[in-house]
Amino acid sequence: MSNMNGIESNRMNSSAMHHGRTQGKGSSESGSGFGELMGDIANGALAGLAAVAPVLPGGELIKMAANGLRGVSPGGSTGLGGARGEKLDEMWAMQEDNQIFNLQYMHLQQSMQSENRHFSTMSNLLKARHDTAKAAINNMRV
Amino acid sequence: MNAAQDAVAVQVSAQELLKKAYLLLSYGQYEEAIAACEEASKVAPGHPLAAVLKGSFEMAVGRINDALGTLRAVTNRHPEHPLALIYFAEACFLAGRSAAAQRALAQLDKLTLSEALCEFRDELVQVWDSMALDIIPPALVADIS
Repeated sequence: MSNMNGIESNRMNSSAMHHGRTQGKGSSESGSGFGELMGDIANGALAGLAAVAPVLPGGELIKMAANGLRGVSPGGSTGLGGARGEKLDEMWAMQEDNQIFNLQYMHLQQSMQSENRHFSTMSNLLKARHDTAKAAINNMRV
Repeated sequence: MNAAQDAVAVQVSAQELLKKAYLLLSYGQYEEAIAACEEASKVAPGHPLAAVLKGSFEMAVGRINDALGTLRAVTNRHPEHPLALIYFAEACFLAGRSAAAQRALAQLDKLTLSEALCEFRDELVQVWDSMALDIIPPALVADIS
């Protein structure tokens, strides 16, 4: 038998068969034994894959997939949490930017309000000046 | 009769000259406006309005020291002319002489002012209180719009 990811088939078969014998189960149970055998094989394969994945292109992704398939909980997997964490970081940064923009906008609004007040005051002054000068000329008595 | 007619003619002439001066100021022809005021002052030498407006136009051009001299002379000759006091106070403020401006305002408060003059005085005080000297534009120009 050929090796499967470094797991010696003879040893695997002997242990799997020993497991099957110790169960002492009937033909209907032999299916579960076979399932467990296949599960062990798959688990071993995936463990090997996860071990060698870092040296492969896109290895981190492969490692994530392999670990995920081995039934590692989503919360515990660094790969899965990492992707969500990046999005959270982006959203946080956007939130901070938004706050800065809001502050800047508020300062701009305050400046504009101040300018409006100054403009209004100067307009009133010019109008008063104009009115008094016109009235003084019209009411001039020599 | 002739004296009255002469007086009317002088008044009309002086008024026309001052209206002309005011229009010239509005179109930015400051020197011509000041010259028209001086001509009006020669036509009606006893009336302070021509000199008062001349001082005001000098302020509009930015010649604050000239305006101070013109208006100080008018207020000395006519201490109860309210418009002269207001413009003199304004010239003092623009020249940075706040105490002299306040004294002119105190003198003005002793007089009976028309509604328009009261409003003008209040607007001036509001500008002085709310704006720094470097914010106020140097030429306070008349607006006929």
